[in-house]
Amino acid sequence: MTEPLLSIRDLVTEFDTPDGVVSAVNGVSYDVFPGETVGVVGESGSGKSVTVMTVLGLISQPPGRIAGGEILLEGRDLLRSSAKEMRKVRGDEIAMIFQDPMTSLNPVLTIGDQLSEALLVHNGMSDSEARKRVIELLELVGVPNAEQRYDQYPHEYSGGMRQRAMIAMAIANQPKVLIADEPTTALDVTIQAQVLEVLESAKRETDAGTILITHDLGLIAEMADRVVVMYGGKVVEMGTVEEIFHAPRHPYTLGLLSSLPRLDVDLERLEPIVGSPPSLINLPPGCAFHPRCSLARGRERCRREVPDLVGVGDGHVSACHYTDEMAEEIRRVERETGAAFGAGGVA
Amino acid sequence: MASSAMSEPLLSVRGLTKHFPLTRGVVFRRQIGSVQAVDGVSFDLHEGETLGLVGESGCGKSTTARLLMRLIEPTAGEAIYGGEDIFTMSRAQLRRLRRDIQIIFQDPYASLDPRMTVGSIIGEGWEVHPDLVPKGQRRAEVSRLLEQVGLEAGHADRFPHQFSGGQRQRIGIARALAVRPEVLILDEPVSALDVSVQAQVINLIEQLQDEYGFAALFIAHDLSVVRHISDRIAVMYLGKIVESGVADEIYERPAHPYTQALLSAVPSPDPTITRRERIRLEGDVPSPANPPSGCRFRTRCWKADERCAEEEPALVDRFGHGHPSACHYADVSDVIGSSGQE
Repeated sequence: MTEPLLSIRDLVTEFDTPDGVVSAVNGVSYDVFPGETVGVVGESGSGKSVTVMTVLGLISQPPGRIAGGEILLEGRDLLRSSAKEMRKVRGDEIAMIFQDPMTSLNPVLTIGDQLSEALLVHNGMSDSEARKRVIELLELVGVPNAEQRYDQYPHEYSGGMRQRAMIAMAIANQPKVLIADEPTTALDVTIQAQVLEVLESAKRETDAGTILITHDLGLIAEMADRVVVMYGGKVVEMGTVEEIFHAPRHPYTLGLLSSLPRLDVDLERLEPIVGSPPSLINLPPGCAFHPRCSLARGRERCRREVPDLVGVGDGHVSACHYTDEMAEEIRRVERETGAAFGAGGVA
Repeated sequence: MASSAMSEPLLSVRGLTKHFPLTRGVVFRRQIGSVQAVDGVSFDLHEGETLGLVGESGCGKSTTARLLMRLIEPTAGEAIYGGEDIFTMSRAQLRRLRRDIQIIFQDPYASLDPRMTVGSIIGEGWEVHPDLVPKGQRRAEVSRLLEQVGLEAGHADRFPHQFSGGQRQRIGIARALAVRPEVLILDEPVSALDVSVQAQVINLIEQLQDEYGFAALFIAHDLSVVRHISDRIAVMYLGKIVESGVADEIYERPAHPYTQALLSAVPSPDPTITRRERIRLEGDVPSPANPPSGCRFRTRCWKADERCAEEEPALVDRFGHGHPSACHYADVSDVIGSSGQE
């Protein structure tokens, strides 16, 4: 394989709060290769967003603290970069699309001014060149009447249109890495379909490596090449999208899949994960997932020993002591729910 | 399951309409138009069944819920419950109605009074309906309800902020069940919850429905959740029902172009399913203050022609499936490729 574009290594990000230290990111490592989409899934508080905020240098310190690790962008460690260098990296080499375009666009500037600002700052274009390029970009993301829309303010755009403008802004400087954090969560499903198509074509246009963060497993299945599953500030499983959906090797991943109602089949019943996500101030000892795990069954090892991420196949890794029991577990869940997770695809 | 269409419906809604006035001016307020949030909605809810009401933001599904609770007054229409029209009921009848019809809201953080203990939140209904549970037994009844929704009896003395989102939604359910409702209206009850917790709450609602036998009006935008929980489904667009029928009919044989587009837009959590052809709708939902003439969906519809602009399509059973659709050019199409599965 080629060299990774972005390589996150053993990242630890903590926050000091009056209640104690919040361990939001607990030794997270994953890579992003050129042109691929890495889907990051996990529930609230899994650390998926804090990881990318750290990558972008957007953690305010204090209360935040980056206690360890490296973030390598083409070999350069971003954690050692100066504030000035990071300003250049953001928006130029790494661009971000946020969930809520209403709060991430400036309400008192026109869309055109905001988009051309990125070009003026990073590319040194002239005003008229920038205007021309912005109109091109707006057309690319499917904003109708781009010429007139250039001079409108964010409140004159609908939610879907604002998200298109955000995507246009993100790809304006041909970033190497595109980070999309819940890019369509605030949108209706028919508008989501439009925006996803725009996101795909923007990706093709720039050939950027993309990190797609979402809680929507359907979105991951459709958009991602590889999937990172996070829980309690750690990566618990990582593999290709087929491996994750059809041969999961971590009980948490299986729990997410069996919690999901299906559009195409009326399932017998859902098999939820018991309990709720852990507090990051007071993570359970051993495997953080053990109090909710269907495989742990009170076993000592799960309570004592933090499982390492180990290889369970080509590039497929899982952090579970009993990953070899997963084939049996998948069959059990299939019996319970009436769903099929691939033809017992576990090797 | 649906207790068949033959029995008398528990709740019968006919021509329900709500137009919110749009005004201009401060001193001389004048009406310059109206937002047609709900426009001629009719449906029946039978004993013990779950009717799913789906649609995107602004389609009027939550306004419908608020109207049925009489939290807002309708512009027109009736809703017959127990032989009486909800909208003409006396105060005494309303008090009884609000016991019989309970609502659970989306936001478990905003719908519980932060200064009340969980026990007093659950028991509040008994202050208004003291005959439901004798005073001496209330404490025990609160414990029983808490355990039934998967919490602990000891939680009665805690305050809402000590609970997670999923637990708060359970408290809301216990509060609703405390007055033994006939109808439960659930307005996006799980959309603020994480996937794993969402499944717990869905299973809980199903289990309690088996036990208590209430009818449910389940309002949601998540089509997968709605399929899982509903017996029958009504699809709304811009204040109108465009298609309705039993769940399998709607999902496997949708006939209205909007239903087809909606279903095909949902990403499938199965990466090996060959990417089905997605119907992509152009543009945004038009403003309900100025809806299109004729069929309200026509501005985004690939089938639309002059007839659609002039003549509003009626919601009628066009194929004899007992599954009405409001489209001049309705045509059944399995857009999610569900036949052949299961």
